[in-house]
Amino acid sequence: MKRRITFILNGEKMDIEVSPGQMLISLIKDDLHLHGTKKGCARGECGACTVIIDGKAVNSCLIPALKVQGSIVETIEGLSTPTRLHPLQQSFIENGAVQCGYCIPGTIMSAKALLDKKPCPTVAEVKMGIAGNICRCTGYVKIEKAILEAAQIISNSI
Amino acid sequence: MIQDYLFANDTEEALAQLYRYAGTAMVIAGGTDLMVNVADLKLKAQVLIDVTRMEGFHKIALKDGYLTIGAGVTMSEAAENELIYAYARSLAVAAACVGSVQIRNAATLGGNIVKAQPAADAAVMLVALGAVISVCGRSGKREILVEESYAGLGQSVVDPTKEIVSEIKFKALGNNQGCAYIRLAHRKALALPILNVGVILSVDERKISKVRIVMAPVDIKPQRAMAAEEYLIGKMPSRESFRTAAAMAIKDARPRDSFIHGSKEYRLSVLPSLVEKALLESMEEIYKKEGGV
Ligand SMILES: Cc1cc2nc3c(=O)[nH]c(=O)nc-3n(C[C@H](O)[C@H](O)[C@H](O)COP(=O)(O)OP(=O)(O)OC[C@H]3O[C@@H](n4cnc5c(N)ncnc54)[C@H](O)[C@@H]3O)c2cc1C
Ligand code: FES
Ligand code: FES
Repeated sequence: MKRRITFILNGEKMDIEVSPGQMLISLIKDDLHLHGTKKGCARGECGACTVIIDGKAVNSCLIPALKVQGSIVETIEGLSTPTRLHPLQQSFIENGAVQCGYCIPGTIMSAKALLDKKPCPTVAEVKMGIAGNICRCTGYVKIEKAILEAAQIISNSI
Repeated sequence: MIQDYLFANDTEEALAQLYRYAGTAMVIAGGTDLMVNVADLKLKAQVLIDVTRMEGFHKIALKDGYLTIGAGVTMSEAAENELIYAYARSLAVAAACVGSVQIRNAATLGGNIVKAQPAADAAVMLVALGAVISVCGRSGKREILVEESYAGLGQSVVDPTKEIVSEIKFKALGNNQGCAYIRLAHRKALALPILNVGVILSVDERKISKVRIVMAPVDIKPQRAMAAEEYLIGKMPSRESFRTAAAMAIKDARPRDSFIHGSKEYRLSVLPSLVEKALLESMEEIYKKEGGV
């Protein structure tokens, strides 16, 4: 039986029918056509599908869509405006932290959840914050640098 | 196929829903184990009863010397909670070892126990702490030691198509007590333990009065190092006594050769060092606590 849920997605109110066995990743990609969020392993092990629910990074491949009833959900599409990238996105580009790019939306969402909670993280905290995001290309060094730099830019601008 | 997904407001309602679907419905908490089963087409339940929004399910409280923790507390919540940190530090440490940030934000302590994996991080430490779970069923509430909640490999005595774990409870550690949780794994994240050890240690009048050493995965459930525990009772805490006890730990360990966890020989040879380290760390915690021995 399909059920109706309401939630906020990237600042916009959603009112939509979902199937009981549907995962959040399928709702986001198949029904809402937001393809920034990626599917890698579909079992919680790669982090490519990471989104933020009520301030917390989670694997959207393991979250039943019905669980977001009444929640605030953020995906990679919610970060930038048509004219301006989010400091994390800008910093990833400037630091050459993106290669094939498949893991990047998930990694950036993990980084955003971290910076929203800890605006000035240590290197160890950054490593811990993105430990659930596997990148097969970059070797993480530039990703870590990009996150630390973005943190600085964000705190300087407040 | 999942036909329906319902949220319960309290245990009464959740039990009524489970009862109505007579075995075809199952409890879901964080879903980090269940949804992997769905991906593998292994889930038999047709209806899921979500318990994460139930009243009191996320509550952590200290009352009459006992720490009570709602079964819906997530690993992230447990890892950051001040009461847990103050009265059972190693449970916070164990919770912080689970999977990744994303997994910890969803995974619950209740799910960790009911999944009944022999080396589940939080469950291993809860066995060391002597924790008890409250299990609610149609005929009322019963209390079971986490240690006695294992019915077989990956099998719990709790039946999630009929029962709900509402709460976890154990004695808050006092100033004469210390605890430790040590984990050996291939990576620091997203890796299951090769070995893990949880310890609580009590010292009265400079002698060890109580000790619980739990090791995993060395059997189908978290295993107590009984011989080592017996040896330590009444002894002075010292490097020598800890080392001797640690060497005895292998008497109670029966690890198998495992592709994921490593060979039996390897694990039996490193296990004593982990037990020794855990005992030393527990003792250090006692030294640090004010008014300690
Ligand atoms: C990528 C990944 C990495 C992981 N890494 C680790 C790790 O490092 N260490 C570790 O210990 N575990 C790990 N796990 C396993 C899992 O995250 C934990 O076992 C977790 O604690 C399960 O909790 P949950 O709330 O997600 O359970 P769920 O998946 O919701 O439920 C698991 C089982 O318990 C039952 N259940 C849940 N809550 C209750 C309740 N209150 N009453 C009755 N029955 C209940 C369910 O019916 C189900 O049978 C990992 C899982 C994944 C996918
Ligand atoms: S696709 Fe969700 S963690 Fe890999
Ligand atoms: S940039 Fe290719 S996987 Fe990370």
